[in-house]
Amino acid sequence: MPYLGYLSRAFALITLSLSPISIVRAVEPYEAFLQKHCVRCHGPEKEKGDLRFDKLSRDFKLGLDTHHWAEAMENVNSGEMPPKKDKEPKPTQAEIAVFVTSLDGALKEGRASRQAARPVVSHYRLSRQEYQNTVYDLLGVRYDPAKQGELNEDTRWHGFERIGSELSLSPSHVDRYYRAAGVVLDRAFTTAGVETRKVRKTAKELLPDGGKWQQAILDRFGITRPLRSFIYPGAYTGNGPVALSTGWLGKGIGPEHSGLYKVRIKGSGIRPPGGQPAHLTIGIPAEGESGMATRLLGMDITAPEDHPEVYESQLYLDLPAGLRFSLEASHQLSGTHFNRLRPSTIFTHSSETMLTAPAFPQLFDDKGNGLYSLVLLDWIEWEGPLVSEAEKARRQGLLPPDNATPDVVAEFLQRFAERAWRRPVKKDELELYMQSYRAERKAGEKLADAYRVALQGVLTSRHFIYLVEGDKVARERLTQPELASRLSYFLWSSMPDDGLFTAAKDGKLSEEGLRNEVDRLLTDGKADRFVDDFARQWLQLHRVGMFPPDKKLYPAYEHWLETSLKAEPVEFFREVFAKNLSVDAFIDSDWTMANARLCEFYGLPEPKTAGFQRVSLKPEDHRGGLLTMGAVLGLTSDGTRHRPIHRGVWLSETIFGKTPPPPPANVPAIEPPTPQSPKASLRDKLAAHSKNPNCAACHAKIDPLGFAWDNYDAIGQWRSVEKVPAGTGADPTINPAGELPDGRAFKDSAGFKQLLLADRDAVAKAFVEHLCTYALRRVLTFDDKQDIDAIVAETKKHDYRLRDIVRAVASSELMRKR
Amino acid sequence: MANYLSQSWLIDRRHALRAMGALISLPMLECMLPLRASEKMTATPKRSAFIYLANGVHSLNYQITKDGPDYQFSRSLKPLEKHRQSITPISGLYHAGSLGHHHECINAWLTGGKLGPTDRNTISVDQKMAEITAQHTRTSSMEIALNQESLAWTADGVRLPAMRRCSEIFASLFEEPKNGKSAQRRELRHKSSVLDANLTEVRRLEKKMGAEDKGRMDQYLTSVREAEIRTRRADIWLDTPLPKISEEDRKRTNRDIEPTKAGDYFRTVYDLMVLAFQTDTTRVATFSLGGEGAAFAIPEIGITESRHQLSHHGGDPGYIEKLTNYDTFAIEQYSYFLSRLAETKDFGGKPLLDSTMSLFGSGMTYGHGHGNANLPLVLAGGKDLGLRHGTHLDFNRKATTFKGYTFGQDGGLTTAHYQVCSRPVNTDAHMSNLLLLMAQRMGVEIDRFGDSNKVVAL
Repeated sequence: MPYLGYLSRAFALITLSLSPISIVRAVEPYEAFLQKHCVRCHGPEKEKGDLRFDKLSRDFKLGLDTHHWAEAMENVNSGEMPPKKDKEPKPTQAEIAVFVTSLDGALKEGRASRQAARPVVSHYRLSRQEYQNTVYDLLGVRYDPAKQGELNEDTRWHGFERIGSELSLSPSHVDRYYRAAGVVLDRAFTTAGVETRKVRKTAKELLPDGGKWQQAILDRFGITRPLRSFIYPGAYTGNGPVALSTGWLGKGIGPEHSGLYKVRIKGSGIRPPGGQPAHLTIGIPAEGESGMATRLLGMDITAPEDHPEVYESQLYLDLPAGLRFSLEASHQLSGTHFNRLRPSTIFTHSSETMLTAPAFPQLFDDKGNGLYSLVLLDWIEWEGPLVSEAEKARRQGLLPPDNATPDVVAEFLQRFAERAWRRPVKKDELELYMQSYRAERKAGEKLADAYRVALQGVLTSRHFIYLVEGDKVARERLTQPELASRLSYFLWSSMPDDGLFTAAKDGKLSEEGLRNEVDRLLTDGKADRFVDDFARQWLQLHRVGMFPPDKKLYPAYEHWLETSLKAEPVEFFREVFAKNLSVDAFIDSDWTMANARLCEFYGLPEPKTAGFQRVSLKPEDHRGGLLTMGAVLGLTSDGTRHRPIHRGVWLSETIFGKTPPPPPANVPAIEPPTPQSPKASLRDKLAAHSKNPNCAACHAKIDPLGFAWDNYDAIGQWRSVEKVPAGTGADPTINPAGELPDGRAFKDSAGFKQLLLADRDAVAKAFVEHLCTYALRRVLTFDDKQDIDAIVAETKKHDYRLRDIVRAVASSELMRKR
Repeated sequence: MANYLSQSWLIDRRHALRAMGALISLPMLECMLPLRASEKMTATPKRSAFIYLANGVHSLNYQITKDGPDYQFSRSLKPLEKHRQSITPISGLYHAGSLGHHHECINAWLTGGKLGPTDRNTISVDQKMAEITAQHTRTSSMEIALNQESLAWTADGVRLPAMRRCSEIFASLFEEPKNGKSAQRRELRHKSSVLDANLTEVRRLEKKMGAEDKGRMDQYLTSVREAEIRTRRADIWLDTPLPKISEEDRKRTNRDIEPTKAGDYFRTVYDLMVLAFQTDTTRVATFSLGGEGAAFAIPEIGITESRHQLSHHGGDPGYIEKLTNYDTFAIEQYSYFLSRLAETKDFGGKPLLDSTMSLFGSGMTYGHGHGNANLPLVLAGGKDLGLRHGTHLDFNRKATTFKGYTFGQDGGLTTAHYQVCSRPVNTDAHMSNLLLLMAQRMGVEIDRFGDSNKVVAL
């Protein structure tokens, strides 16, 4: 996909060997089709519909007649053209395929070069995630732009969030950037004087009225065990215990106390035999009783009832806030007797429930096994806001002293702007912002308040919210500061640090010096951001859960499973990256990264420890590599059914880097089966659909890539029969066999993976292209081919190891070019 | 009620400039024109609302099959029967750009733009309208989506963000500025100053680069400029007292409703729209009842599945029944909106319904097969804008090739109707023609919109 136009290798070869337009014109495969089937009516002799193909511009890069070409492709693809009543022989399926593929390739190539076109000065807007990281690295301020009402969501291009030509701006964006800068500066200025507080609430204190009467009852019966809070699935609102109330932290807690908090919990998790580990969530409850609006934290509580443990985590808190606990499992408790579980209910131990509350619904069987997942809580502790020395250091010297002269203020502003704009800044570039400062002073503002206006200007300037490359005089190479930013946004999703700034300033970013810096960036902890961001965007993980799975068809699917599924490919990528494994692992592996919930979902032995870890896979597990992960199989489904065609298109884009031509618009509808018709698999239904030669041409290439995964349902569970809701007879057996367009046959998904591995050069190359698209923030064109090939050749020597590939891209020729 | 429309807030230009600090180089702004100066010809403001129902409808129970004035209401449209004289159900329209684009149809519903990974969307009709109404109102337009994305797009093809919660919508319309007027004015002055500096910075770059190659910066420039104009407008509006909202209205609308109470949620948003129109806080509103992937379940009528799920019914009669009930339910709430508009008077003493056009519908028709033709649409109200209702406007029947709707032995439509909902019968019947009509009736001076090829006559 990054290489638009490279649709079949044969076609790519033709265009590459013949670059001058005039020669290409005679040879382009679609020209033959036009001559044979179209020019008769749309040419010099007849000019039907005011359209003459001989007069249309072939300069796809300029894109003058793109809409006519797109329409022509569409009409041939949909069978509207050539007209049915035409006496001449109809084009064959193969001819249609060649025409559509080659014209689509030419159009995409043209589009790509327009998208990638670089004006003398190019502007690449920071994505939302990059904005967040940048303000953190700049000022040590935590700001979440993804929160509702903050920055707008980025427009994606095939999953990538940072393609310059896609990131556009509306007045509402400007408003939000302005407001965001205000919030960031508020936090930078005010949090300086905020003290860290620590508060612990025991289960007793969590009870209404501090648990006085509950304790009194225990005392009366001589029960010495302490009170414990219990949390059960479905109890996360009205009924469940409060996890945090702003008042706990003291009086006058407001937004300035927002920040990073450490939360510690002592408790036990009850797990019913055969059931799931208790998964405790802390979050903001939705209004009323319908669940969590925002989940801030989730953890598996696995300590046994008699041996509670302390669990610790950190999270960002926006204060004031009221947080609640919830416990999520695929089976929520419901029924009237559970209404008796009130916050005031007394609980000490599974063996004592009958004694303390006769009307208590049964939660344990007679052997003391839990009937449901439960969490028993002893206490919860909050500590924060935690401000590290490193964070404080970033704000040091931000404000000029109260008696500073305008010249001193200008110097302060210049120092700030050089970091914010990630380059040397001349004083006169800041004159406008100094004007604001002086005007505010004149209007009677205090120095700090007037200076804040200037800072806000610097943070809403185009130099901050865009990566600016180029100058009024056109040049081919990046400057050192531009290269520094490109590198750090590639590998850290953020601004350069002091070391990288210095290297750029000293002109050291080339050859040896560049490689050293790249190595340093890659070993820094911030490289984790690259793993998170690239893996998410490359694999289009934003699509996971976009169409929430049908609760009746997939009762196992719940929020914690979705979160875990979504994390698996990212953790897998992290492991391949950390261990510098070959990208072959993306196609197949005998291990994956899983937590307890995923192991249960995949039917793997449960890990002994919490969190994601490497677990080994056997062939009969039917997993390994990215392609059979639940997230990938789910994001290419629609929540109800698996979608072989979506899966084929995803695979084609993500693994081969090729985007199939769009479907023709005017396809007849697939009618739902009547209850009397025999049950048919989706594959059989689609087969009927693509008998139409106009559809068959493309679907012959896409569909096999999707059918291979038919053994996995819409949430990625393994199956051998397809459940069909309507119709008569038995559910059809899955047939995952097929043939690639080049004729190689496969039996099932495992066989398909082997064919992909045999194509490893193509797969690795597509991966390098994706990585370059991400790093350069633009669509690739044929002009980049040579540089790409060089990277591929170099990394092939070392078995296409992931870290090596990333390093090669970061220190490549391509990275240094505009 | 009339007091909040007094023109006491009109300020002289010098005052405005003082409030803006050092910025005196700007030409006279639109916002300094007297209220409705450009609207002397029509005493009543013109208003428009657009309401989106995701995933199409169960078309076999929705389609009205007789055209003209003596049509019969279908099962799903029945709740609108009492508004018969104020509505026009429309059949047969489609967006050429959405065909084959499945759930992306929501993106083109109000734009008529082309969809696809490399196509940039175009301006939505509500924003086209807001271009001329914004100068008269405190809020230029209102974008509401109960989940997922809004329906509104800027001229640059950028989607506008949406509001979701009723309390959030209420606050955006009627909440007093924080810390009083003077603090607010100071804040606006800061903002004006910052945006002006940003703007000048880009203009300088432009001068250096000459006309070509500005590319991306053009968009930045228009956006910052527009944001600046809005800041100035906001400053001027500070002197106008906020409209007074009765305690009863405030209680009813300034609250958050959980998605499990869909009916209450829908109606409260409609109430807020009525309030916004009644107080002339805005004249343009879009409202998505929920996105294509996430439109709510409606437990109160026994629907626990998401709408998307129901729409892929796979022929299951139980799902089809629920989908029909859902359609009917959503249309019933829309009928409530029309009733509220009819019973609420604007400041001229006339029913709001007469000055408010609204369009209800979907960008999809046959959800199970992702059919995007023969879109379900109902146009209502706007008598004072010259709309004449009372008939079923059927573009399918205007096509010479149309052989009529296909009925089974039970008298209902057969599944052959799904084809009508997937491939346009009347290829000239672009939905953009309807959007063009609405834009023109709002007073927007254009003769083309989206992929319009003529204007719908009504």
